[in-house]
Amino acid sequence: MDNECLLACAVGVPVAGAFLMPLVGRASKTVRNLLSLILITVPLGASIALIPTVLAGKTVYISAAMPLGFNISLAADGLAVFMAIVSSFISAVIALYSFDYIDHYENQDEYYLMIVLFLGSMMGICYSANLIPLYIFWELTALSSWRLIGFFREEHFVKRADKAFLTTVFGALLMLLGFIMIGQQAGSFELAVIRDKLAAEPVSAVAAGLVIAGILAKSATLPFHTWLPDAGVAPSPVTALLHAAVLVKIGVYAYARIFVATIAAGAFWDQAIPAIALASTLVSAGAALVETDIKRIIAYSTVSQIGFIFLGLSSGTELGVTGALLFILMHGIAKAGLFLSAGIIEQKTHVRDITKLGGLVKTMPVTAVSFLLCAFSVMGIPPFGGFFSKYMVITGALSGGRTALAIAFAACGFLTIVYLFRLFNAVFLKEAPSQEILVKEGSHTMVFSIAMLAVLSVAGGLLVSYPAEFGLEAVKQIMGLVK
Amino acid sequence: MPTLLIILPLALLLILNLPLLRAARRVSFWLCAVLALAQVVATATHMGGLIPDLGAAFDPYIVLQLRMTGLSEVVLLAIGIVVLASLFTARAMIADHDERFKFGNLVILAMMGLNGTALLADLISLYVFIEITAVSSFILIAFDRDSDGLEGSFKYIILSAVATAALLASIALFMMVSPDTSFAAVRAALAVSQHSFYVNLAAGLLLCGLFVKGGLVPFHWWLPDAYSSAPAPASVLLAGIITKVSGIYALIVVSTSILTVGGAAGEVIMVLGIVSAIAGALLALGQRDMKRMLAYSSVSQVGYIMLGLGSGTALGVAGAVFHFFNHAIFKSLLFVNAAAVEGSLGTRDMDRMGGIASKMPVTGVTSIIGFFSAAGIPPLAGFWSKVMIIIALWQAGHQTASVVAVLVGVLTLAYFLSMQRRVFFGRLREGLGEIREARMSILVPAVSLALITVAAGLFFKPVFSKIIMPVGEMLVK
Amino acid sequence: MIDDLVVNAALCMLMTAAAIWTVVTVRLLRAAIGLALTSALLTIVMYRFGSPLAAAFELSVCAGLISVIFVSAITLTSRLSSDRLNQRESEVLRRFWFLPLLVIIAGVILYKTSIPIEIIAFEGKTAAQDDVRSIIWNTRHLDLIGQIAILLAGAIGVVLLFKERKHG
Repeated sequence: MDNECLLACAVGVPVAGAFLMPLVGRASKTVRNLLSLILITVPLGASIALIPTVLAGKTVYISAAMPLGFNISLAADGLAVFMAIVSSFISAVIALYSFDYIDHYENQDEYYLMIVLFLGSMMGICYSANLIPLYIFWELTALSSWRLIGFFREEHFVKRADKAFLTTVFGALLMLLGFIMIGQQAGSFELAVIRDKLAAEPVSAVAAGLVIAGILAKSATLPFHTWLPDAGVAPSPVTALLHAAVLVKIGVYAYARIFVATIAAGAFWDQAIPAIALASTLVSAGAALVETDIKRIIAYSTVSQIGFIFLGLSSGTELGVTGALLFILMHGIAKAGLFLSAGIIEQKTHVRDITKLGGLVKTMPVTAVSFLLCAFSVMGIPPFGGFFSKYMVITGALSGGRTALAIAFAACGFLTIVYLFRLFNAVFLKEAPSQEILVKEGSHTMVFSIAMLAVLSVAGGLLVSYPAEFGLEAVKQIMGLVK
Repeated sequence: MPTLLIILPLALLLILNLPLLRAARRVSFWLCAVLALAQVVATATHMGGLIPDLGAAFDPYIVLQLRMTGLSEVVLLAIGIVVLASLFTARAMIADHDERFKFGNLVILAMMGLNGTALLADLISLYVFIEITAVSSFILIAFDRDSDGLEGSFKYIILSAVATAALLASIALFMMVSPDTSFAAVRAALAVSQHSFYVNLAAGLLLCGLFVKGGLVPFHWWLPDAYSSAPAPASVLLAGIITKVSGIYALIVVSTSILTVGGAAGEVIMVLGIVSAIAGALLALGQRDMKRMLAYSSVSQVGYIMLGLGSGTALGVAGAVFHFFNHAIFKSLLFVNAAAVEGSLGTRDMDRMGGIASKMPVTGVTSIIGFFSAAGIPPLAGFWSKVMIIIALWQAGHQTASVVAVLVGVLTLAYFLSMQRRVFFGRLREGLGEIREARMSILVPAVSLALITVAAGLFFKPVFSKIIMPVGEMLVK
Repeated sequence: MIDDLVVNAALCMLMTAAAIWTVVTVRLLRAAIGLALTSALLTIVMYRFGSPLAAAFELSVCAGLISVIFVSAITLTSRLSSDRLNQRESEVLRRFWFLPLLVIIAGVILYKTSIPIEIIAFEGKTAAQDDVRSIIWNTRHLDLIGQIAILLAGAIGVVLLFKERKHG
């Protein structure tokens, strides 16, 4: 298969295949589950197959002409392939986990439809080379997360799903306005054309601000962060998918794609973004310290960690941006592990309040160890994967001349350690408040999934040079294009 | 073909009512449906240029001053589709044979009025055909003879009378300056006496009359009553196409072929568009009655059409025409869904529903498609038309209007989400365990309309370049 | 010989009086008669002012409209006792005493301010000067068909709305 075909498959197969789910689901559950896994691994395989071409410094590009410059263009460069591999891999693990988790609930067909559609649109966002398809896929992720968050159909769950949908669509509409302004200025929505045309004349601060508002809403950063903890009512694989691995990273990725690889955000936003990121990190770390709901703590932790990624991306140094890319990978793996562990605990004990939990290390040893390993990675303890990415981000900020910011973020890193230990202690170590909650491990598939993520968190640290080299190559490619 | 589109409905009506043909009444539904389907097929194939115009042979025999433009084709297609949807809904909702026969008669009459409105190019004929549609819809609203329906019908009559008076007065004024009342003649006469007080008054009255007919804020208050009190199949027809053609389509035609687009009239249209879009969406947020919410949503969506029209550019007008078509499709779809829900639950109060998608899956899914199209979620048809309007406004220098159009999207999403949450999404409400999916003849139009919405969105490229954009360019010369 | 102006003014006054009567009266029958009278007088006024086309339309279209209005009105209301009717009538008369005054004041103001007519006429005959008969029979087939349709709609409406609904 040639590269163009691979690229088209990476996006087209899951988006189109998603709608087969309800049909196949009527015939056989097993076939449907396997098919969903296949549909998710197709883009993973296609993206991996694209690696040699991309590492050679080439960009694969396909485009279908549409009126008004709304061309459906896809392009695979280092950044896109990196992001696509990370998100499709994590999604595949999560899909594997959900086979058992979701097995005894209603509306499974819809669940798999939305999961696959979500992953497909995520691939679309990664590979979009035009602002309009980027926006279209952006909205598709919003609508699938709306159905997924409201999966359990309880009234206040649906309300929170509505809130997430409204917040992200509000941001997306602002972003669409910003896109239109940029498109008017450059005379095209094609990213490559915009990059050439706007190299000399920067976009107005308003246009950049509108796009950034959309990005912040999606990545759940201050002031649009409240929907993310609320969305914790979703089934755990969904929260892992949305909060940890994929959805919130979309915002970060769009920032990298638009403001690192294509145009300059302008002096104002170069200063404002790290400040917003710091505020977001601090506020949510504080919230994570006092929350008692296990999923909300992890969700706030996500909001907090997203700030680090923004810090790296806005540092303007190769080291910082590479660190941010690594952070996306490491945090995605580790945070997915945390959420999926929380899912096992929630499903087995039916309790999410950490004051009513405790002592689970005795009955759930594998989960406990996996949880701890993933938590180490999120905390940034050497030699786990998270350590290197956090180190690179902060060093990148330092070498970009932002000493005060770097110190403030290092302090936030300390807060991360505190609240994750508090969580681990409360759930696994302290004495159990009652014997009833001491339950057995989850099913084999579920435990296997989280164990795999934990092992990867360790491996990511020990073998950090491979992803780091790839990330550096990708960063050189995009930063070289900007300068 | 234009002649046939007017003569055939009338002929069918007369034949069905011949005293000798009482037997024909039994199959009256199918005859009406076949007629509407023929209109859909004929227009669609004519649009695509697939077959030559078979009806052309009839045109020379009767002198009717009709014109078939790209715009008429779009409107005629929408009329055919919505009439079909309404007929099928009536088949499910009206049990009595005789009643259904009468309903079919009225629908066919309304269809004739709508077809005429879409085809003519003359102010007096415009008035006459709008009136045909209006009289049929008065009766359709009051069809059930309950006090709600009569009240809604009465309000519509009163407002319609005001609109009629304004239309007639403006026609009279135009007749003083123009050799006849055809659009071209009036336009030429207006160019001569542009700044005269009476001519401006006439243009203002004409616009006002059509604003009332189209239910724009501040003339909107008859609309929710009429929509919600009408029997379900009638409200499909009314919301889907009647107010759209007799108000909005007429506005599009009048403002492009009589007045100059983008002039003072354009400003008025734009301001009303902004106000309607915002006010309609805000009012929709507070509704409990499902059909009232949809009615206010119509007010808001019509605001979008006005914004596109007011921009005065080819792209904007094309966007307005496309949104017109999309709105006809998705709003009829939502009203068909409302009919299905009302038929199964016997209520329209959304606070007494909940989670019924689990019992009525087809209705639930199609309602989501209609809602996404209305809220402008890509890649459905409603998204493309809204984006066209927003970009056109921006290019024409109306940035504020463009921002308003974007932000109303959030309000639209908010009220539709609240509807979804209260009606379909969520846990099944207690006491609703017995409800069942609606009958086949409601599901057929729902699914077909949903498919049309999806298809128009997915095939945006050919739809845009072959049909919509040429219409916009034709209207803005 | 009576002056044209006087006749026109008298007709207009009569028409206004009939219109006010239609609005103020509480008995449906009287209102119907008032409306028909207003309509008829308006037709005469239009004809005298040289607008036979509009006069013809006034007669035909308003006839259809009026029937529907009264049908719905009659169905909506319930009958009042005659005492109650008389009481109600005097109430309404007291409440609307200012209506005739308002009409007179409006007339005076309009007369005094008389807006100047500044139409730059189209060169040649305008539509208002055409003969209504030739228009209708030669160039307006479409509108004739339309008129037929409106009458049909009105007929269906009367049949449908007047008939008692079948029960059971």
